[in-house]
Amino acid sequence: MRARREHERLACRVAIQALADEREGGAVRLVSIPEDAEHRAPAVDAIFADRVGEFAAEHTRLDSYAAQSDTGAMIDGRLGPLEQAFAGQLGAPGHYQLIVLGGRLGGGARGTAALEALNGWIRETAPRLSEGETASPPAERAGCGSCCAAGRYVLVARREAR
Amino acid sequence: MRARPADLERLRPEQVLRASQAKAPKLEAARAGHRTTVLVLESAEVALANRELVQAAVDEVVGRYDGAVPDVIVLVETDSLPWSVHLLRRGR
Repeated sequence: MRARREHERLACRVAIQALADEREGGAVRLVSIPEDAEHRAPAVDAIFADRVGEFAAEHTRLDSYAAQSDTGAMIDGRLGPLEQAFAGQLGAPGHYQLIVLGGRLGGGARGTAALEALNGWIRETAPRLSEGETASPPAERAGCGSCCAAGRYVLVARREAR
Repeated sequence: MRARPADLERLRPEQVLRASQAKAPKLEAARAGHRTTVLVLESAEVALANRELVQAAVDEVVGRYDGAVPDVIVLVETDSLPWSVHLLRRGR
């Protein structure tokens, strides 16, 4: 909780400093943290000031869709072991993004088989992709269940280090 | 690893609208004197979002949002270092 709030406050400070730079206001300083001091009503995250004046800043993390964080946690839980297994094992520099279209992986024994098939497909495909190139599992891998059907996953190669 | 709903670009403005409804009243309450109110949107994902997509969603929402609008709306992208800051909107 504390780490999250510190992160949010840092994001605010970075944003406010950019605005201060734009108006040649110099370095910003933190004036107060109303959300900590005000207990009767919701209050903003922080008040900053530069030489020109004050800023009231309110942070929010912008998901692309509702429940994205929940979906992301589910995906991380199911596919996280794959990420760890592939670390440094795909024979090419850089990293890969695996996009799960529709946000559904399937479950149970069929889901496990689908993940094993996905594992094999990534291992075969990833080293052949060049920078920015994308690939999706072919339809014939759908035999393990709909979770692995063509179009369900997109693998993107990024050749720069993450 | 990221999930991508089929209708993502219809859903994105709804997220901006929710953020505005939740945060703009607090910023309005903090308005005093010449203090500038700033809504800081943080995006930590390169796979599903970028500045242009968020900009379009913000423009759409500000156009139809009838509540108080922050003086400034800023996007901070934290998915890579150094973080990048983009000014999305100044006033209505």
